[in-house]
Amino acid sequence: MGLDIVILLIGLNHKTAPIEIREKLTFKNSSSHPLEKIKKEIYSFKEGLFLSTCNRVEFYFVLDPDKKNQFLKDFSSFIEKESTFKWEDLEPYLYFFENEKAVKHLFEVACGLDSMVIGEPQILGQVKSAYKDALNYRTSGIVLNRLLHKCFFVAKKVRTETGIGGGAVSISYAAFSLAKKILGSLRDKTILLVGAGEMAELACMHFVSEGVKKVIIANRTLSKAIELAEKFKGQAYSLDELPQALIKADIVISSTGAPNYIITKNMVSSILKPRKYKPLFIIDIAVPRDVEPEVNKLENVYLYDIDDLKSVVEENLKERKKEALRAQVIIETEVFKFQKWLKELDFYPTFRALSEKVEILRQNELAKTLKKLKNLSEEEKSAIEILTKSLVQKLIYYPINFIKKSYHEEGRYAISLIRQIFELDEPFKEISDAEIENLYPKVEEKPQSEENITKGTNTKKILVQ
Amino acid sequence: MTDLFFFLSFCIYLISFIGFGFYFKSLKKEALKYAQLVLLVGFIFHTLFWIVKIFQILNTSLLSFKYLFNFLSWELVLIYFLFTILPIKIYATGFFLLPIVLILLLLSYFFPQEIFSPFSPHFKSLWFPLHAFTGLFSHGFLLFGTVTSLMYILQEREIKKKHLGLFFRKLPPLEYLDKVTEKCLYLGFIFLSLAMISGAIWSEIAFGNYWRWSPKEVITLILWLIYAVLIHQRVLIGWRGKKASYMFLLGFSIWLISFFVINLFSKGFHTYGS
Repeated sequence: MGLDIVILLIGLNHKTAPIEIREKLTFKNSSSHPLEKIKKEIYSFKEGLFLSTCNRVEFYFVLDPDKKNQFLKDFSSFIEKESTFKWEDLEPYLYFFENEKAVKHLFEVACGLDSMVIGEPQILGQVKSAYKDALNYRTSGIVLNRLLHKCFFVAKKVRTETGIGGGAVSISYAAFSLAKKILGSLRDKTILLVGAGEMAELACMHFVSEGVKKVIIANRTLSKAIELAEKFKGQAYSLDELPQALIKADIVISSTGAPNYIITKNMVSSILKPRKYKPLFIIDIAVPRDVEPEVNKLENVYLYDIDDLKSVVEENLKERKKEALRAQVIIETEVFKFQKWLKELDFYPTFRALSEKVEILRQNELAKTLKKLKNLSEEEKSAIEILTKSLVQKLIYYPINFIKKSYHEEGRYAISLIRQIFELDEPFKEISDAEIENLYPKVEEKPQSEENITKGTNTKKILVQ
Repeated sequence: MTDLFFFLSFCIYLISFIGFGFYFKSLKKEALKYAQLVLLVGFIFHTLFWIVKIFQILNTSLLSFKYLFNFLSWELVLIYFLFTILPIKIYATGFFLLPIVLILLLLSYFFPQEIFSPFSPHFKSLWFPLHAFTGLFSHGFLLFGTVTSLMYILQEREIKKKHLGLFFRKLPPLEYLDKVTEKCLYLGFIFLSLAMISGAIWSEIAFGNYWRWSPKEVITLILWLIYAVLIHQRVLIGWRGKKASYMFLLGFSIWLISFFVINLFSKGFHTYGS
């Protein structure tokens, strides 16, 4: 019982290829989706998926093993036609994974383990939209459907069970999460921008989008401050009025191009009393620094410069790398489960699973009945045994015959359908009488139901015939 | 009956503590939900314990010192629930608070029964229970504020040193901790003042004088003064955060002396060490 399909991954990413190569393979300029083109030009594959993000371009295919060489030939000429590369030039940048390794790679990609910033959450959305495209162009079939659903499941599991997405890994988010830990809710807080540069504006946007309402801007040239203040509906100050502005602020973002300290320890310590020692969080993203480092020693004042924030980010990245090891364990077990499913997607395992399942059902029901009928002779018991056995065997004759007959024509689809109908991939669950009753339409309520019953028996008759 | 309720509430609190530990480790919302639910069940049993116990105390007119621990632990859980109703969320406090609750319960279990309140014969006057309850509630808020102050100090140290380690993600924001400590400060002060006033009035009625300068009265006065200074500084100058937290720890150590050393080992009026 060998596998008669191959899952093939051909791709390149930020580790194997420079941006010059990657950008030419995104197919962003072409008029139609690559899957659409491939579908028209190559016939030697069964299913396909195309994933393209800024860090990777990957093709996933499901193929017949005997057609693999033919497919590679077709695919290379397709790439040569679509891009300006010669296949030989491109090949060193590509990676080729098959089956288990391809599945594992897809899971790792979806969990963000393969991303430039480990654990970043956007990639899962990108995989989802790639799958949507594959559904649109009808290149996804039973294997890819199962694979992708499994993949989303794994990504979710990894995200909830490990700390892979934990901790801020960008400077601005690190600053934001620090502000939250110092000041709590930021809604009623005031943010002061010292210097009306682009950096300050960007950082401020982050805070404003998270709910900060009041913005004050202090700048050397007042006109620029006013300009920016209008944008954020805030107040503008000149640099000479900085102490007054500092009294009102809760968060300060400083990013001037000044050669020396603009906010000194003396200045801040003089405003502590008028502020009633309310906590003040100063973020100094200027190089050279705007704020005297000694300011951090003052009570209820917290100063973080760009290097401090960077080291926070690095610390978090280290933590994520540790968590990635735990994610690997989850991924490996799920790859194993998927491989198992793939292997069982064959006639004999399905046949066996189905007969085992009905045998369990039969024996459970038989045991229940025999418990009630205590005065049976051995002969009667064996008669009941034979009755149930032949009943069950005749019932499963139809599905088994169906997959056997249509195995070569409709392939795995029939098997997968039978597995789904009989819930062969799920743990065994006893069916209660109430559940069965609920399935049928209520007889007493509607007068037409009699018709239904006769219809039901008719169809049963047809089935038996 | 009381033994059963006591046993149940202790065990359930212990389970809840494990739940809070889970929450502290994983920051999962479900863990918190179950931990709080379990805590509530334990609190209901604990309340039942106290309903029965109060009737017993009223019947026998005997109040053993050991039950004070028990009442304090009940109060702490009550205060925790009171603060979870507020919009300021400080759930992680449960993880730091429950060990104290459990220790108080253990103390009350192992403490000898024979140490009775010196005022047992005077229960009938209404001023005495007022004095006792307000006093105990001021202790409860003091303990709770001590816990949040401690958490504040841990969190502030990590942020100030720019080494965001174990506590940074798990502890509530500094501002929230400070606000809760502030509320504990005001409430503790109000209850302590009420306890002193009601105690003085009752003392006048029962013994004929308002104030006797017994060690317990003196140390309570010191505690009251610390509170008063802290509130004064907070309102006028803005003492908050680390300074206020350290003051709370100072108040706590004075309370420790008053509650354990003076109550049990100094002899005389108002103490249990006769």
